[in-house]
Amino acid sequence: MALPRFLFISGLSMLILYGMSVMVSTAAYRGLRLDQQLDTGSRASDLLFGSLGASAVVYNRRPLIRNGPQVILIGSSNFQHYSAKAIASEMPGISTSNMAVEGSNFADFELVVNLAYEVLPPSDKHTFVLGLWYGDFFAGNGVGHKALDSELTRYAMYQKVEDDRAILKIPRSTLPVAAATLRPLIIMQRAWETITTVSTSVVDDILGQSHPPATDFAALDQAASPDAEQQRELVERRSADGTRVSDDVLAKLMPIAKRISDAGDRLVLVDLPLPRWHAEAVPASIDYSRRKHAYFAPALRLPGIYYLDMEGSATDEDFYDSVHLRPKACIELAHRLARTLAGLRGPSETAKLPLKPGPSHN
Amino acid sequence: MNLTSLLFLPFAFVAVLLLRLAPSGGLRRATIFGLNAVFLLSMVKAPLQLVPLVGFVLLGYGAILVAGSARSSLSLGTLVTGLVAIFIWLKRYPIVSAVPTFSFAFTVVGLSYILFRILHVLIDVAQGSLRRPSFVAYLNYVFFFLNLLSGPIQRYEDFAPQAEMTPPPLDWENVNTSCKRVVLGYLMVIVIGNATFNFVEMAKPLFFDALGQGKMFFGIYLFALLTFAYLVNLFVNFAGYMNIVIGIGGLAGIVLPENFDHPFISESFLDLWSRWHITLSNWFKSYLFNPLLRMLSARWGTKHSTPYLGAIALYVTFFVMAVWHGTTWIFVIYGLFLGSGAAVNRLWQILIPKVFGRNNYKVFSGLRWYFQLSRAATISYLAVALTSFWIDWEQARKLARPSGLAILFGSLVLMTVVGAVLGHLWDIAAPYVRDFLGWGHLPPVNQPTTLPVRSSVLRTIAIPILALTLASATVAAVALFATRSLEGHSLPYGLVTLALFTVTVAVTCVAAGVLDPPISRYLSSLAPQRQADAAALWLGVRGFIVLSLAAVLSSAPAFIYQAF
Repeated sequence: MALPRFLFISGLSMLILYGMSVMVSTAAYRGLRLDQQLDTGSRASDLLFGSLGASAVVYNRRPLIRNGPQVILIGSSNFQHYSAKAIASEMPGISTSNMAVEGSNFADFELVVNLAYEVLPPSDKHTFVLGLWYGDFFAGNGVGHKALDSELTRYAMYQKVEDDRAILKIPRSTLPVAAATLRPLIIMQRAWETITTVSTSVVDDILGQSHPPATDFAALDQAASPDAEQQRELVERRSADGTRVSDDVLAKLMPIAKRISDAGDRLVLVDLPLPRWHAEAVPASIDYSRRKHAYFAPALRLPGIYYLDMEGSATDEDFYDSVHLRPKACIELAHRLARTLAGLRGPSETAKLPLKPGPSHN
Repeated sequence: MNLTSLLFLPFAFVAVLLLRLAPSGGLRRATIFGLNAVFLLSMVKAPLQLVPLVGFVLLGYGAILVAGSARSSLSLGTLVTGLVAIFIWLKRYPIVSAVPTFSFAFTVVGLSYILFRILHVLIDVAQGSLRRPSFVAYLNYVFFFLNLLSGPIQRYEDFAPQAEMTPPPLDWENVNTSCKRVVLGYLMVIVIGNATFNFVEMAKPLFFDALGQGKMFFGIYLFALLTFAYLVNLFVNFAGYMNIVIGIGGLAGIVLPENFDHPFISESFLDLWSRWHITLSNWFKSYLFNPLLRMLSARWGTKHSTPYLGAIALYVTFFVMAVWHGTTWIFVIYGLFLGSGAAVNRLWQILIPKVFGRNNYKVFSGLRWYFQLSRAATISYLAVALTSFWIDWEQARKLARPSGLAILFGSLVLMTVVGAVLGHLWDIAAPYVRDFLGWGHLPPVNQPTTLPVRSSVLRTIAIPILALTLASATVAAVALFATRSLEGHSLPYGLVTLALFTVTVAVTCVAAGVLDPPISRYLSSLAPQRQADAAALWLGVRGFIVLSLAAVLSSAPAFIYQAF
């Protein structure tokens, strides 16, 4: 009997340890109020799910499972700090989530929309807000795409198939339980990523390479805007990415718009601001400005699809680099965006081009 | 199916269960045959891809049949040459690049190790020291799934009885020991292997940039780091694999030979090869070095020349062994390195006592600094020789220029000196570290001990845990604050990051077995049944950590999708 008893105790101790880890991780999850709001730009989300946002988008969709209309922000890193909390404060009774993933592009937005629809209650009317800039429309996969891919398939919850689609491999109703069960592994993964990041910095130091310091919200608000020399370098770097945005990626707008419109929900396409020295100098930005309306127009004829132009709603000093607004400016623009969204008409009406952002409180 | 894939774990579980359920005779043979077939088929998309490999093995059996009946040196030589020629052709060595090959894609997975096993049986049968195995026994030996990919190269006479007869009954001590090896193996391959691989990948382009720009000192420094990191990467991957297969073999009742024996404490290059890839060294010793030395001695051997003939035989043996490792010309350079290392080491052993006198040599080699330098030089030389594994021919040409050779030599000197100093410091600090972590005065890890417990539970376990936590926190704090990783972040963020870092380092050390000696000491103080229960609990803790790490660091295997 000694051997079966030994094996039983070994197996049982593993299970008990895992059960305890689930309890501890759930307590941490609740303590950080991650069950209340999905906001990939928040510190709490950063702490438990990582700053890219891909892990939160896949494993923290529980806040979307609630009755009532919702606003869901989708975009890349320059939309991540449009605080969900700030938007919710301007729209009482409407819950808000930010599902922006750093390094993702427009092709990934469709995947994120689908992930949201997997858990959103179908009975209510929701508003999807896509934060756009020309960088979202380049062909090729960025770090966000790779991170989403890896998170979706890591624990076999999804299978990636042709056309870059992700097929859910477990019953939809079990998603929240599966995500809760995986929390210890997600935290362990986060801890491991912390080690990897720090180790990379250490290795960079050992190898004599410089590495950018990690920065926090407070530091970004105080950081200097790029000077003329830095602007020139940044423009050169951005120009090297390509001179034209991809027609194939632009064409992906229509399926997203159709899916949302068919569901009776609303889609707001928001052109996010860029510094003037960037927007006016990079060929791909000029190309995007010239051609976007040709692609947007058919989508905007569908019921419930809107376009909001926020270009020019920030000054060059509001940016700490070539694309990203300071966190304070993001929150200010999030309030203005929320006031505009609150004034939108119902999904049965078609938008007029363009909407004006709400007034500033400054 | 890779041994470190998550798919291999359920396969291994089923294999262990079946091998335990099929204790002896035909059923056991059939079970091994079936498991080997499933393992091989998991390596390919279509069975056709296995045809050349299986054909080679069948030819091998044909050769054994012929050699067993002919029993002549000429026929044996012809058969060995033929098999090696086919091996070279199947592996697509550059010298046969002009010879046509199969029109379809095929696999040669495990072919190198298969060749060694076939040649061993062929030669021993021809020489009458081994009875010809039955066809199924031969197939089971050659294709045995635990040995197939990376060895160890087990001798047929060791393997055959275990594949036929009832294994000794499994008790909890065996399970504990075997499972711990598997856990350690996964940790070595998945965690440490990944980390060192990433380092090598980061440092490689930087080194070639430094080489191109003629940055001599930076180049020496980088090359030393790079070669040592590659050596560690190779060791943890290879030794980790061995831990996994030996552990699983132990559970299944098939004892596999050890392939590593603390290679980093080798005192000389020849000593290294009795500790590193031991079964390969033994194979070459039996089937190349010994016959070659006999042949040379028969022709030119005298009292004075025989030691030098040994050096020549060593050179040839190590050259061939190195060239076997790869299919490109660059492995000839590796061969020159290994051959020279072995021959120079042997000549040193012959000439230095002659020059300085045997007694002086004994005193000299007993000096601490001599030992440290010799140990560091051995490891550094192997690290530099292994460069052939991670560079291509074009990069080798750059390294062969005067500036590159200066970097190579400079790195060798730097590594030797730094290694000797660190080795000396470790020897001084080791007793204190051992005492602090509770490693001192212990029987081998994983073995139940009968030593009396002199201290309380607090001293036995709590102090090592505290020491480990403090050490992990220190490592984490130094890493975080020495770099700018936390710059601009708030204090709570910094503290949480520090805590995560500390816990991860400590937990990884626990999984690696750092706390095993004090735990073993504690277990020895318990009654037998409680001892088994506590050991099971501890195994569960380590298993939980490593399985979680494996799940986090690996992607989901395809079979999970098929299960739904």
